[in-house]
Amino acid sequence: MSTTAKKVKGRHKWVVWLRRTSQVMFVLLFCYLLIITAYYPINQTGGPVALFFEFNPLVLLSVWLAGEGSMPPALLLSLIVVVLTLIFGRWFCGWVCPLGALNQFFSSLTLRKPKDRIALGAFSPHLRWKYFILAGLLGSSLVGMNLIGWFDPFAILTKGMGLVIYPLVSLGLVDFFDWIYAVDPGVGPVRLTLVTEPVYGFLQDHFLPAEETYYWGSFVLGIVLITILLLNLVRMRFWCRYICPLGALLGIIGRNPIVRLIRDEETCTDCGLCVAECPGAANPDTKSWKPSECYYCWSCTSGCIERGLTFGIAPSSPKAVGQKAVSWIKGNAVSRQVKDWFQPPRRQRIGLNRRAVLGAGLAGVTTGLMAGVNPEVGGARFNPALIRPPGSVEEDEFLARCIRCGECMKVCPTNAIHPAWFEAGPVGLWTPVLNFDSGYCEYDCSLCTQVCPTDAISLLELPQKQETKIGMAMFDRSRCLPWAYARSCIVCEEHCPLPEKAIYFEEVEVLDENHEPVMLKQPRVNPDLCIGCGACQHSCVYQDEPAVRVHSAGETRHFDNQVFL
Amino acid sequence: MDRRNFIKTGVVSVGALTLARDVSLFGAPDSKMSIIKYSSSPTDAEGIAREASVLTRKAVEALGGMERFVSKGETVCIKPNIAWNRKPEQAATTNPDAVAEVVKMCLEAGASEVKVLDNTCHKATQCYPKSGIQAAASKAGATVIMPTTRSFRKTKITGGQVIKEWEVFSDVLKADKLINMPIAKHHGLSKLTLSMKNLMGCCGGQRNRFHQDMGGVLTDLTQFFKPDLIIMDAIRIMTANGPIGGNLEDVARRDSVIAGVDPVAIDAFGATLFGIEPMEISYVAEGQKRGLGTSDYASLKPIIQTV
Repeated sequence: MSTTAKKVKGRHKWVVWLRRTSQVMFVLLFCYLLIITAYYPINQTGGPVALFFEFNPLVLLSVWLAGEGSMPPALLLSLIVVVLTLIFGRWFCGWVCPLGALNQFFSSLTLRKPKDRIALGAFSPHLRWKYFILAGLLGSSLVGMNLIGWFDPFAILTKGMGLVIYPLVSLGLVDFFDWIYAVDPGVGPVRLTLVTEPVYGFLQDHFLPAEETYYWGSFVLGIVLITILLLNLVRMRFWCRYICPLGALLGIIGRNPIVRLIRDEETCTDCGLCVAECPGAANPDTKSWKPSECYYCWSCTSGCIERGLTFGIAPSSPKAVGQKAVSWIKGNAVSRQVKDWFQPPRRQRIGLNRRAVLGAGLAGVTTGLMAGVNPEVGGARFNPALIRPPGSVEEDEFLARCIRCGECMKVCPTNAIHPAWFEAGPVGLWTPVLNFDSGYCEYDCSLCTQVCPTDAISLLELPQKQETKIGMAMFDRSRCLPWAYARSCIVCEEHCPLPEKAIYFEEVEVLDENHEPVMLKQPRVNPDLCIGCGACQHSCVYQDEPAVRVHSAGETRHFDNQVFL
Repeated sequence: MDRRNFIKTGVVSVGALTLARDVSLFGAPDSKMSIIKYSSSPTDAEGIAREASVLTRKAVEALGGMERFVSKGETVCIKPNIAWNRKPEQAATTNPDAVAEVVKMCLEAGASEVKVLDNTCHKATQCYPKSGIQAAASKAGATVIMPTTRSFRKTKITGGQVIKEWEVFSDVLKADKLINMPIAKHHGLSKLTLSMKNLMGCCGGQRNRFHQDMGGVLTDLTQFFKPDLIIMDAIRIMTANGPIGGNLEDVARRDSVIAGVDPVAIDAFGATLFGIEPMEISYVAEGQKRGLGTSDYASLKPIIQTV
C-alpha cells in the first residue's frame, strides 16, 4: 500500500454528510409535524401530521393482520418504503428513521477507542432478538391484539417527544421568559426584556403549545426514551440492532437488496476500522456482510482508510469475482481495480431458525389470546373509567387497530387524552383514554378522529362527533354543593356546551346549616342529551374528586354498554 | 283650523320636539347612560358589522365622546366577553366590530395603548380567533392580550366583603382606564350575564367558587375594578341555554348598544331586554344595596336614540 493512499482518509465522505443531512432533515420534519399536531383556529391541524406512520410498513402489516378488513388507504404509502427497501436494503433505518438518527447521534458520543469498538461491533446471535420481537408482535396481531405500539420506533418517539420532551422544553422556556420578564435586568432604558420578549412572542407563535400540557405517566414514557438513547453507549444503535421490530421487518424485506456493499479484496488490510464504524454489526469486513443488519449509512466506506469499500450494483454471485462490477459512484479507484471487487454471497443467514421464529410467534399468539379473556377486552364488563376518544371503534377492534402512537394525545387541544395505565387492562397500556380532571372533550373539535392513522378512532365530521356519546355524566350527591351543602353552584350547567343543555336543574327550597330555608338550583343530567364530553367534570369546583363524573355507560361505540331503553 | 287638525298638529309638534331632543347630535357630557337603537335589523354580516360600529360610536358620543373617558397618553384595557369557543352569530361573545370601534375611539382620543383581553372559560387560543375579536381588535390597532402564566397576580380586593384576595389580570391593574364591554345573555344560575358578571374575566384562579355567592362576589369585583365606561352589546342577545348557547334559535335581536358609567343601572336595563325584573338579578340587587349605582335606570335620564 502506498502511503499516499493512507493519507486520503476514506472515500465517499460526502455521502456520509448527505446521509447526516437527510437524518437531520427527517428529525426536523418529525419535530415539525409533532408541533403542528395541534388545534389550529377552526378544527384543523397544521398539516399531514401522521405522515411517519403512513410510511411505516410495520403499521400497515399489523393493522392488516389484526384489523377486520377496513384499513385507511393512506397506510398503503408504506409500500413505497417496501419497494425502496427491496432495492436499497435498510436505507430507511440509516437515512429516514428519526429515532435511528437520534440513536446514531448518541452512539457517536461513545468514548470507546476504535480497538474496543471493533471487539463490540461484530455480528452476534443477539441481533436475532428483534426478529423474535417482530414475530411475537405479528403473532399477537394475527389474533387481533395489536401490540406494536410498545415497540414501534415512531410510536415511542411520538410519545416520548410529544408527551414528555416537548411539554418539558416548553414549560422550561415559559418559566425562563416569565422569570426574565419578572426580574427585567438592565441598565436604564436598556432592558433584557427588549430582546427576550420578541423572542418569546416568536416562540409563542411558532413553537410553544397553546397551553402547558401534562400527561399521566409521562415520567415512564420519558424513562423509556432516555433508556433507549443511553443504551447507545452500551452498543452503537443498541435499539436498532437488537430490539426494533420495524428494523427487523425492513431487514427481512431487504435481506437480498440490489444495491450492496462491495469490497476491494486486494486493498483490504483487515484493519477492522469499518467494523468500528459500523453501527449495525453488519460485518462489513468479512465475506459474510449482512444486508439485513446494514443501515446503508456509508460509515464503513468513509471509515476505510484503504478506500476499499463502496456500495454499488454488483454481480449476483460470489463466483463472479474478477468480472465487471458497476459502481454507481464513479471514481478512478473503482475502475482501475474493478477486477478485485469482492461481493459477498447474496444470501446471508441472519441466524434465525424456523423453530425459534415459530416459538416467538406462538408466544405472541398466546399473549394476544390471554389478553382477550380480560373482562375489559372481552366485553364481559365495561370499565367505567375507560373513556375512549369520540369515534373510537368497539374495544376489541380498538385494540386490534390502536398502535398507541400518541397522535390523539398530542393533538387534543384541552389535554384531555392521556396514555392509559391500566384502564383498558394490562394490554391496554399507552392506549388513549380521556381524563376529564385535566381536560374535556371540546364540543367544536374532532381532531383526534382526524389524526388517527389506523382508524382505531374513525373519522367523524363535526356534527357526527357532536352526537357521539363517549360516556355519561353522573352526580355524586354526597359532594355536589347544592345537594350536600345547601350552597348554590351549578358551574357544571354553565359549562355544558350542548346547544340544549344536558344538565338541567330544579329550583328547590332546602334548609341550610343554620336551619334557614334557602332557594337552590339542584343539577340533574338529561341522559338523552348528555354526550359525556366531561366539561361538567372538568369545571366542577372540587379539585380532588369532582362531584360529577363521566362514566363509560351509554357510550355509542358499545351496543352492550347501555343503560336506558 | 278645526279642532281635529289642531289636536293633530299639536301631537305631531310635541312628538317632533321630543324626537328632536332625542336625536340631538350633541352629546351630553354629564349624562350617565345612553341607549342607542338601530332603525333596522340587518341580517347580512356586512350590515350587522356596520350596525355594530354605528351604534357603538353613537352610544359613546351621546355621553360626550370618548375624550370624556380617555385622556391623551393613557393606557386602556377593553374587557369584552370572549369566554367561549363560539362564533359571533351565536351571541355568546361580544360583537367584534363593536370592540373594534371602541379601540378606534380610544386611539382617536389619544390613548397610548389599547389592550383587549379576557380570561376565557374555554381555551383562549380557540375563543380569541373564533369570536372574531382577535382579528377585528388587532386590525383596529389594539394589542390583543392572551391570558398566560404571567397574566395574573394575587391581589388584595380592597373593599371586598366576600373575596378579600384573588388572582387578578395584571394588565387591568396597570391600565389607566378600564372599559367593560359585555354582551347581554342568558345564564343558568344568575339568570343573566351582564356587565358586572363580565368582570369575572378580569380574574384568574379558581373562579368556579364565585357561583356560591354571585351577588356578593360580583359586587366586590365591580367596586374593586371600577370600570370607567361600560358599553353593553345588545345587538344579538342569547335568550336561553346560556352562557354558552350554540343554538341559533336562542338568539334574539335587540339591535341596541347601551353605554354608561353606572354598572347597576346598565345591568338593570339589560334585564328589561329579557323581560326580567331587574331586582331579580342578585348582583343588581346587591350592587344597589352597597351603593354602586341604581337599579332605577330611568332616574338617570338616559339618552335614548334611534339611528
